[in-house]
Amino acid sequence: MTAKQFFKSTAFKCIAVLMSVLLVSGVLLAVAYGFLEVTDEERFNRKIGVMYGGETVTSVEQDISEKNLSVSGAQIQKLWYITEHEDYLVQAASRGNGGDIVCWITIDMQDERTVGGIGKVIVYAVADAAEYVNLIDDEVFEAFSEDYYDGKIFSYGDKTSSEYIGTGASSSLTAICNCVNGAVEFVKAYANGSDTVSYEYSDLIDLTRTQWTVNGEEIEYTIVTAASTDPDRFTFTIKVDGTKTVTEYSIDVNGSTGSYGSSMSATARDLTGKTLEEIEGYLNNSPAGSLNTGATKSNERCYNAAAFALANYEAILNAEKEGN
Amino acid sequence: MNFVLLILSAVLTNNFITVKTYGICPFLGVSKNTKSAVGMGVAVTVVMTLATLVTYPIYKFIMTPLNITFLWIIFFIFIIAALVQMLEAIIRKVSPSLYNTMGVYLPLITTNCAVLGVTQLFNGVNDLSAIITGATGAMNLGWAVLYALFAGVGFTLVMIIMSGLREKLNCCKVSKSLEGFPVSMIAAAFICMAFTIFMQIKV
Amino acid sequence: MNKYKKITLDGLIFSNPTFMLVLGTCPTLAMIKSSALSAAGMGLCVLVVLTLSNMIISALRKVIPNQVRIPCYIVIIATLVTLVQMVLEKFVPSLYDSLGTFLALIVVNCIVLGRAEAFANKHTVIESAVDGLANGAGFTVALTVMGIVCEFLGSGSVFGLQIMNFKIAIFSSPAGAFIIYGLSIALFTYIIDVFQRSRRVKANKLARENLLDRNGAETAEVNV
Repeated sequence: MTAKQFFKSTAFKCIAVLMSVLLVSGVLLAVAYGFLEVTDEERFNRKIGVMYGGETVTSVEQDISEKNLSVSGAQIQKLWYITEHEDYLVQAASRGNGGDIVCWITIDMQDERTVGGIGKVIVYAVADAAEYVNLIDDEVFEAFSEDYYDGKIFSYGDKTSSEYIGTGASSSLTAICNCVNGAVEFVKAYANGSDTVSYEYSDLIDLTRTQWTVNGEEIEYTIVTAASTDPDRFTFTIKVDGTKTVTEYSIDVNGSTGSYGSSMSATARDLTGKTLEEIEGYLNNSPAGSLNTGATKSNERCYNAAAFALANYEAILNAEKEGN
Repeated sequence: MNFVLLILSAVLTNNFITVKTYGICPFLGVSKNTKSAVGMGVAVTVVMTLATLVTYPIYKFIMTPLNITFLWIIFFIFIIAALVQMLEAIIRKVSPSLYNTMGVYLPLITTNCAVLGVTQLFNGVNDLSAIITGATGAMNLGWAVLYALFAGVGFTLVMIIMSGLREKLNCCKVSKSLEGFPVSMIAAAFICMAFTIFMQIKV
Repeated sequence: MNKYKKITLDGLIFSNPTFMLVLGTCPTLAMIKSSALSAAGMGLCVLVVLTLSNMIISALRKVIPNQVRIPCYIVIIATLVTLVQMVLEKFVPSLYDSLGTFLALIVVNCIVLGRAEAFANKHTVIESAVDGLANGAGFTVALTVMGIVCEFLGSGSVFGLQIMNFKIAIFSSPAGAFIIYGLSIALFTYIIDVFQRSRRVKANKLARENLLDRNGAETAEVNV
């Protein structure tokens, strides 16, 4: 086939037309993109605009890399200072049922060092499986700023349960509550230039409700697990003495739902005399008869509470001594 | 654990048909008997997996550095179309029997939104990669391809269930205006309802 | 003029893409379960893309060789969808967010490619534009109506406006969307059936009367 024939053939025509259509489309889109591009900055400002009723604000991102970022069941991701309003915007994440739920929370400041209230709470992003989030009413989000007072801890079930029936969003709501609590806690510490204290094995523990008293070498803990559904909150009384073993262990409030309470393993119900190594062994290796009883989550909380009490024994004792 | 979470999520909790409503056309169109449902399901699974395998590096290593990500729709649909053509030619050559069971459904797949949907999902074009990042902490090609594979398995599963239901439905008498699509859709609604129970899965 | 009336009626009613042909089911189900507003928004996006693609493809129908027509159509449609996507993201971000992934999936919506293949490559630009508008409008109306029903049952509101205080959560899920879609198709086909039957009965009656008249006339002639 000569070159001339080729240029007259259908194949050439096909290629030429397809290429020119592609080229025109590409150029057209490139031009359009030049005009219509939405930059990351613009996208971010748009989101912030939602938080402040559409007005444009200046946000200064704060460096929080040095801080302890896991606070009462939430993971603090970012913190901005909004110059116009003199308040903070927190991005916090917490684990819901199907994945992480990321919230944005504005924290109003009374003065430079005191938290005055909660401005607005929105869900910034959700993992795909947490689609139930859409079922939560706006009222619920508004309630955060209305119900806030200093020391308030939000939890699922605060509102009369009838408002939530049918939403099916219990796990998502718990995650959102965790985010709000964590954000308040974090900003409180940040504004004072201090840091929230970092404890080991605190992922499943609600630090704001957990208390302890030190008597010489012995620490008596009242540990409350983080808000969740299936199982509910647990409350434990655990004593640890100088030998770093559990000397007393009791479950004051058993949060197991359904029939899971009865299928919890015997070990989990009484961990008296155990050391940290033994409990870590249970947590990591889940030997037969300990974690895999069907009441996995309840068991996990029991072990975690004991691990928390043992692992933080020295840190708490030292803090107490310094305080004195 | 991440692996289990990913599989459960792809097959059940985030099933492409019952939760995301992707790929409804073949779901309603090609589910008249189990044989064709399986054929279609397998074909979709193969194309979804391959499409993810190809588009992910292209998006990440060619389009993002060149800053031409806004052209992704054209790129991806072309890649998928080319992939389908190639696959069809190869299968026809290598195994005519396989072509008869699965290959005949291939041309239909280019315009199946499940395939474009899956490539979109993984390349983070919209912020939907959260499920993977949530499960693994970071997204990479391996996880993405694995997710696509199991999303295809989930698709096939629902196709098979639907074909079974429709074979039974053929024996039933329904009023004339409900015949065909309406009654299939109501049957599909029940499958969806059944699948919502998997939302309760906690890992 | 009659030609355009036929194209319009076909697109809107007699071959309505949603109810009669059951095309573009994925965005339909996804949008009606989320809200009436996003359903209407999705409908309008398809309307715009469909009309423009019909016009462009019809204008280029003599240039594009038959062998590569499908790839060319796909490129044209993909370009239009990308443009719509860019415009929405820039100017109507709230709608852009609520349409989500399904905005890009208009590319693989069978209605758009279907009309290009079945209509636009055989007809003039104006006819194709009317066809695109009619089919797009048929799709939009169908989606909006079902979206309103789903949103009302699912959350007691219409277009975000709270009317009654109740919710039946299933209608905000794919299962509810399937039920509403299925029942809508059944209702629509039933109405069309009744309508056409009555039209047929009317036509038959007319024909019979004509026949009788003619017969009468003929007999009269014979008698004369």
